[in-house]
Amino acid sequence: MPVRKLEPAAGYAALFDAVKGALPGDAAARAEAFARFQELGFPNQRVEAWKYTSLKVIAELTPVVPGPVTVDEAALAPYLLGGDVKRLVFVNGSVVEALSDLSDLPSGLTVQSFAERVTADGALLADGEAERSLTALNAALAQGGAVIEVADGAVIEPVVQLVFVTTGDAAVMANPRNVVRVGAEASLRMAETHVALGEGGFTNLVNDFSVAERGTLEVDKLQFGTPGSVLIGQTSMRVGERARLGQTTITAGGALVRNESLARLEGSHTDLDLNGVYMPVKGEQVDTVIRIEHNAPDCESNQFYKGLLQTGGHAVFAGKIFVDQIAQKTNAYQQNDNLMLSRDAEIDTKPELEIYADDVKCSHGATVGELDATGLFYLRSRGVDRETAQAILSFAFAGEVVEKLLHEDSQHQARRAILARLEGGEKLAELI
Amino acid sequence: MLKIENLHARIEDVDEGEILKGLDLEVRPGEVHAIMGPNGSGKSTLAYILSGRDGYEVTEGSISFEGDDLLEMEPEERAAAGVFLAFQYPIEIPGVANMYFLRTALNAIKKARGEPEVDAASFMRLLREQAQVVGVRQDLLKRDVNFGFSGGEKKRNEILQMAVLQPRLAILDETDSGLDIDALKTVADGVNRLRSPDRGIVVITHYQRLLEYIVPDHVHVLVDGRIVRSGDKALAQELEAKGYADVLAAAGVSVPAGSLEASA
Repeated sequence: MPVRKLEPAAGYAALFDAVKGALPGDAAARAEAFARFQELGFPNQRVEAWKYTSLKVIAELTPVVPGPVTVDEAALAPYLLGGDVKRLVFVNGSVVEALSDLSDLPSGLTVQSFAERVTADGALLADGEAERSLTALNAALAQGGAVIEVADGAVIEPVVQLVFVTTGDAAVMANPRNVVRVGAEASLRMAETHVALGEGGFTNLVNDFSVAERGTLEVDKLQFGTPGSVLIGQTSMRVGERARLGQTTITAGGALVRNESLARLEGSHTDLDLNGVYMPVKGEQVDTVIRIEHNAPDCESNQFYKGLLQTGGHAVFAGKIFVDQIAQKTNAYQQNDNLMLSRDAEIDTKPELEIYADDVKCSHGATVGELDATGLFYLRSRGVDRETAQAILSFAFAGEVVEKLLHEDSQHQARRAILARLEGGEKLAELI
Repeated sequence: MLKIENLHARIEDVDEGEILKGLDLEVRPGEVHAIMGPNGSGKSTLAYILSGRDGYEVTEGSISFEGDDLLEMEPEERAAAGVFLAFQYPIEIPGVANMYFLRTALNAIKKARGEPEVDAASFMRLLREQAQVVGVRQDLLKRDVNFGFSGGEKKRNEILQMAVLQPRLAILDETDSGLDIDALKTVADGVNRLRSPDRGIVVITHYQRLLEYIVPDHVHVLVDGRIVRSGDKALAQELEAKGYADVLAAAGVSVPAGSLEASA
């Protein structure tokens, strides 16, 4: 049988040995998780889900978890949301109180750091994704991240923003874990912001979101990496009867960004919306891996992802819709549109349907194309030079997803980041 | 200002031979020229070649504009020099607001000419004023370019662009198609306001109807890639009364079978 794993470098075990005494929570569960990680190793490219993605650089790291570091507030300011916001900021995996603000939380909302909570609640380290080695690694080392709970019936006004910052070089590792539980008939809007301020940083994120019946969770997910930073995240979503979960992801930067989502629609009449824009530039790769399980009847799911591929950029989109036999009257849609702005760019897109019910509406579409030639000519015939015309049309292409972000500042940040990365984008500054 | 000599052109990558087969035309400042002709005679090809659209190959002949070789210029350079094409089928651009598009265009042209750019407030005043004149509703200014516009709204939007960009040479490609009589009058009114001693206008049309409102100085009949007859506005009326076939037969022009069938 072919080898399906990459052995983690000795540095991982050395790191675990060095920090395990200080980790909060159940030491035995931590040790067990690390042993599982060692056994599984990192997946190599023989594993179907990792066919286009190499973790060799990650496997060879000698990771470090630096102690608390301070971050210049001004450097962070462009990524913070304004208005009525409650915020937790983590730098290299540790909470920075000075940058956080959890004062006057409305009733029905609890926000705690994962480290604080896991001390009392060891079960938080257990995870259903036992065969995913990166999740096991996260379970072994997780300190950062938040546990957010919304009580039944509580409609939370302020937006809760979680900010994850890495500083320093590629060896700096953070393993944040977020648990978000929205109660019955409750609602929450949140933003999950990832920022690399140094030249590198490896963030191995695990999210566990659940929404009980008739609850609502909306998430703006903003990822601002640097050419050396790596962000691999796995988000499990469980959505109950007549509940809604919406998430819009903007990926603007990072040597490797991988967003895995596993959504389980467990009650009838649920509504799931996953949207995203990715725009890798030279040397960058962005993976979007989605599995949506329709496990109950009368649910609707939508996936709407757009890719802007410039010279040297590589993106992977693999979206699967699974419809169980019981899930009659399912409506499931998936659209993945990719704009190739260079001949030297790569997109691997794989839409998949697996359907066991006979009365469903499911569709998937993937497009890969260039800018519309007639649109380009129209702009140029009005005096707009070619580069600006291309930038205008590319920006408009992404705009349809950007406007799905909930918070005005999220939209503003996304537009600014997209224009900054777009060739000719500097000419469109007033569009931010 | 515009001088076309012996223009031959074909569509690239298609083995269909030439569409334009030796076209001559001179437009002087202040003149309005109408080019009439049946479907397939090469009217739109001429419009696209003047504006620099890809996909056409000029095999012979020349086009000079204000003494410069127009064929050597990029579409945006032609726009900066003052050439404007009102499209037969205006393009929809989802995601780009109409007013942003127009201000970008105006400032790009001003910049290319070394003139100061227009600030947002002055531009909005200009745009609102012109929109009123050409009958473009204010809410269409905020909408995406031509996206979801009716046929008439698209044509009016072309005339609005022309009014804002103030070209030296305006080419109107079948601007009358799909317009009801009220829209036609508004559009013609917009064009007439732009008539001036230093501006040339070329109106391409299938029907004489538009020429009742935009009265041309010269009328040319384009058939099978050549101008076969020229005259004054009386020629347009003659075409309307007798149809293309009679007028051409009287002029001794033989026309390939089938090329007149689609004319009304």
